[in-house]
Amino acid sequence: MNWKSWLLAFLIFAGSCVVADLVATYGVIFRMPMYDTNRILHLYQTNLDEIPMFGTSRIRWNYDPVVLGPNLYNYGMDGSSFEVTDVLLQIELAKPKTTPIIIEPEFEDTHKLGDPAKFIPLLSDARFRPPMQKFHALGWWQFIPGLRYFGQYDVYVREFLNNRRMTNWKAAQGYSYDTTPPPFNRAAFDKLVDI
Amino acid sequence: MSDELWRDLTEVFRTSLDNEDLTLAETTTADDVEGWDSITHVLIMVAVEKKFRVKFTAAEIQRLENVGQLAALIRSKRGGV
Amino acid sequence: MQLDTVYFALFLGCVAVAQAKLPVRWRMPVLLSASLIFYACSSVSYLVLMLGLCALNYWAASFLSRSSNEQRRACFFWATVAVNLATLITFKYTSGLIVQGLSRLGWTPPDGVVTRLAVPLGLSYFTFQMLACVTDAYRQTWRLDCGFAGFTLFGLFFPQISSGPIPRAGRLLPQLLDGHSPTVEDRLSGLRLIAFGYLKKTIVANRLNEYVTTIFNDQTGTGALPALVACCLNVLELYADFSGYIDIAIGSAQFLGIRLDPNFDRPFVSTSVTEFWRRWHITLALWLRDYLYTPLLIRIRNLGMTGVVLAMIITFAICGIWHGATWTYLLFGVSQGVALSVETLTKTWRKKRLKQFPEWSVKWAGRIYTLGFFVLTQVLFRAANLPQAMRIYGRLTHWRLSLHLSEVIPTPFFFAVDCLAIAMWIAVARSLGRASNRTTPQFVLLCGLLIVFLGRLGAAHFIYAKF
Repeated sequence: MNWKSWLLAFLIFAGSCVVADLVATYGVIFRMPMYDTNRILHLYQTNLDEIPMFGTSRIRWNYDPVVLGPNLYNYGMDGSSFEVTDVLLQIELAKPKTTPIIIEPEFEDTHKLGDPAKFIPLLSDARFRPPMQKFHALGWWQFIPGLRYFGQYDVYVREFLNNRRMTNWKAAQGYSYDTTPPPFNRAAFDKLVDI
Repeated sequence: MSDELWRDLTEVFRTSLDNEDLTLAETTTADDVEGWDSITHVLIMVAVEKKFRVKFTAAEIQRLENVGQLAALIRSKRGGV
Repeated sequence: MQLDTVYFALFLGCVAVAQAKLPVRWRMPVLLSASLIFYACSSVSYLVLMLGLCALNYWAASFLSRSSNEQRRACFFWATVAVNLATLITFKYTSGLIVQGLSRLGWTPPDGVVTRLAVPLGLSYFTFQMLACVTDAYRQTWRLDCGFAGFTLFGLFFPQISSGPIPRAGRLLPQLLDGHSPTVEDRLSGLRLIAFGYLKKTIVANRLNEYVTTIFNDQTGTGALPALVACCLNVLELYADFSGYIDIAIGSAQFLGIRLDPNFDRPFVSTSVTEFWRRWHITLALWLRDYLYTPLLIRIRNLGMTGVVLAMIITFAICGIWHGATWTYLLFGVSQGVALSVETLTKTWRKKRLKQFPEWSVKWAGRIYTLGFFVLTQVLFRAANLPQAMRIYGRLTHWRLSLHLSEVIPTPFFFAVDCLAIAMWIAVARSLGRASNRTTPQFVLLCGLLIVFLGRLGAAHFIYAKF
């Protein structure tokens, strides 16, 4: 067997994986400010007067922190179960702070994680591993650069392309919304509402 | 006797397989003849049984490997009667 | 230990090293202990059961090979067949029936109980293998002349134990016993096949599974086109999944210097359903032909063509029920049997009639018919229950002109990546044909990169593992 070409193939493989990891992490994931990963990373900063709001999509899409006050931050995430909210809460409680915390936990529908893709860059924090293990699959490869995004590369690219398209969206304090007025269909309205 | 048996056998094969140019040899197997699959094999056996008025057992039919063995089997069955 | 995990790859590597470093007389024991360890990883108690079955079949096969007392041989043969079948039926069907019965009484057993009743790994294929041995010994077309250790290795040989290809003793046993060392060619083509198998599984089967599952589980959707696309992709998924598994199994065996029988031979070029079953799941089709269809047909041979049709439908009905005791599998099997019967009955007529058309048109019409038939019947195979299958068939008749593209392709981006993955699969399949020993590192590298960047983690391991 030709060991040199096997070694070369392995080096190309490892190199491509590392490059792809860097591109995905810094070129794609970190460049989407409203992507859940980056909103969670915001929690790692110690903003002493920040009032965090934790919860599910109900928080995420319905509570505008700008309206409620300048120090609020929306950490709500689609499909996050009580276990996920709990991890965020633990990170917050470890801080030397006395500000209030707004929590909207999901108790009923607990077998959820949301999209696992958002947690992969965060797995260096061991607190994220138990929910990931419980609701998704936590494999050894998720701790190896390049391999850790296995099965998720296209998920990130799609998210990134969607983000590029959202030119009418406004984002602040962890909350984002579409500023284009929803299309109003008179006929459909009249059909539904009987005046 | 042997020639007659061989001629009758060829005749049965030709009718069953719908192939007038078929020639058989002692070593001919199912793989050598087009259209001779597991279904026609059994149908050929039924035709052979009728023609030579013999009865094969299931194991005998499945043990056959080539036409030579079939001829030998027929001969042994008829010789026994 | 599933074949699509890295643990299996490491395990295979360790076995290969042990096989290469130890002296020749140790080769068979190395493979045997590897197979025992592999099985023990699945379940130790079931390993004991399998060893028991091996012992029974070994004893029966050696008796049938030696004895000449026809009456006692027949007794032994049928008794062994009965025990094998009873074991298979007990494990395969009763656990499902017990769970079903209990839930009908209003008690859903906890998951632990259900998994404890699960079918032993590879029991179906193992039973096929053993029945073939015993039958061959009984028909005196094969003689058992090896020790119990060798026979156990044959029964539990780890690359093929979980879902085939179903081996024949005449071809596999001598290879396992003679302990010849794998050549460089064996090792490299084995590696190529394994890499290709992983590729098919991760980038095609796992990806398509998401799409097909969505459409099949959609309770409210209407419209034929999405259902039709899902049905076609379902066949592609099944092929990628099963042939991916088979490639890993055959590749692993070849990596250890052992050739297993091929299980697929480009099934989608078949011009008739009859030909399709000579190219799809070949080892099962041949097994059914040799040990179920032909004996049955011989028994009822005096019925003529009626017998042929009857034997064919019974064979495929049993083949369907073997996949699981549900109406969908039974209908799947019967539909295959009916198609084969119709093809057999019209064979001469078709030959005469189709002569007037150009050869290429007959060929392509045959291919489209065969594929269409398989796409339609495979719905039964995939559907969780009869109502689900009926819903899909109902949708297929529901053609509408006003159709939004978003109904067929809910997520265009992922659909485009799926198409890219299928194109890559075809491209890699072509380069597999051209790959040589010298280009193996490049080929494995290509597969590796495609797997990492286009692959998906599957929800389930292999579809056929449950049969």
